[in-house]
Amino acid sequence: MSTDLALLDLSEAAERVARGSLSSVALTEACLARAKEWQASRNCFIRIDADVALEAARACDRDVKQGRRRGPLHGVPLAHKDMFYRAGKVSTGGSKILQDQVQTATATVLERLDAAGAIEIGVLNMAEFAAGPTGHNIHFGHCRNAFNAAHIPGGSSSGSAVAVAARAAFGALGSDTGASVRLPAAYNGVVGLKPTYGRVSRHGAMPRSWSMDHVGPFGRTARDVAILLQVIAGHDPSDATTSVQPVPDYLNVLGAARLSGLTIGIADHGVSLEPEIAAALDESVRVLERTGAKLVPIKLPDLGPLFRVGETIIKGEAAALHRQWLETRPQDYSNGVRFRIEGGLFLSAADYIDALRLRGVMTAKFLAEVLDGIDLLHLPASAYLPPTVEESDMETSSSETLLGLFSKLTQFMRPFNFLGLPAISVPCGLSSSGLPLAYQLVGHPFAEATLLRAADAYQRATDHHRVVPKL
Amino acid sequence: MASDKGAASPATTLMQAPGASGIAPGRLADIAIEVERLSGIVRAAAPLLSFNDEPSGFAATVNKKAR
Repeated sequence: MSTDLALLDLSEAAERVARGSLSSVALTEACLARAKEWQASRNCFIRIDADVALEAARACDRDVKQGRRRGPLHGVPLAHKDMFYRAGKVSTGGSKILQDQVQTATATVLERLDAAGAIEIGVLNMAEFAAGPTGHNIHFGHCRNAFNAAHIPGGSSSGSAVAVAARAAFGALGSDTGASVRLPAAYNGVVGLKPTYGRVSRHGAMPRSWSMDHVGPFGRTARDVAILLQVIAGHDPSDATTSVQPVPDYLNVLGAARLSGLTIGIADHGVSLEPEIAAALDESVRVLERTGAKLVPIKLPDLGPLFRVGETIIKGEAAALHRQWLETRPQDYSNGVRFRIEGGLFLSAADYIDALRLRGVMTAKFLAEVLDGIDLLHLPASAYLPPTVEESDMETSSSETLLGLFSKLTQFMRPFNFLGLPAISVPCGLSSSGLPLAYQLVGHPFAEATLLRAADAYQRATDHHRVVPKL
Repeated sequence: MASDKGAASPATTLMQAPGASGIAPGRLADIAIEVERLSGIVRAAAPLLSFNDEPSGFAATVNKKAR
């Protein structure tokens, strides 16, 4: 079986299955072949469900022959971070503690993907309990960067980014509490979107921090991400934090070569970037300008308080979630995860609640002082190239030093979890060492369509997203 | 009134707190510093708050400012 079919974009694969010119079985076999090829060196899957996936693909092909199409993802193979619950199946959350726990309900996002006809070929590696930006996992083995296995893939949705980059799945879901979709997307040369808080249901997604968790899609292109978001977005009665804001037609805004009428603020952030990253970001700005966007400089306020007040919320909520296991099974956590959570046990209730109260006030302030007058904000995805797996291993290195490094890796991303604003990571080149580079765009609340429109126009003018990593 | 001389160190206080039983004693000093840092940031930002600000203000802001 040729694996070339796995190189198609999700949008083209879905269209060809719907037309009947390509079978879902052929697509699924192609993805499974690549999944098996890449698994040995990248460890992006926790489980590959070949038989179940092929049976589902055969059912999709029978439907097409009978003139039936379940939805926009009919017969398209996907895979997701192993933290979206499916009734009757185990969701490990990348942990030892949950590795035998069979779930009794199915995540709303999986129900919506199922209803759209998607096929699931397996579940993907991730940081233990979705806590950690590197991709290390002592329980299931470390996941590794799609472009260079010596380097980290980023996390916590490590497997999601690597599987999509390796063309082992046409798309994937991840969760983003503090960069966990956008950072791995950036480090593996794919597109990752963190929607507005409340845009996508968290029901049935393993929590890390209820207030800061965002479920988001990965794809090879902005169009692929738009297709996935269209399916999963919208109010869910099972998640009271989802918004009743109407879901626009995301695909309707794509396809324009020009970004006329769009104003993008270029962040003056005052952070020293690695020169290759700075050069790639500058070039991405020039491309966006050539496509017709109006650019304006924006002096960015210190993001530190947004990062730290958000961290207070994450730690407080994670400590409440894990307190019982921290007391009874501390040995079943990795150092890295336990260290991140423990501090939350000792935060005062008043400080935690003040952090929640500050969230609304600081979001209103940021919208008024930074985003007023612009449609999008252009920022680095990360100030640093991905470090090696070895040098960023918290089980073998000084924890305080590494926690400082991890904060720096996510410094441009985590503040937008606190603010709840939508943000997208877009590939914009390769470093001289062959590692992916990316920029980030941030939008107004529920302006995912604007983010996708800009990223799509950028990808029409460039081919960075067409670079396929090699084994 | 207790004298400062007899006051427990932050690490000792943490060691006696509920939930601390699984924490390695050597970690407590680091945790004390971390908690102090996070609380300090929140308290430094607290003057932004008015009496009537509540946690649900965030969802209201995001929905009011939807584009």
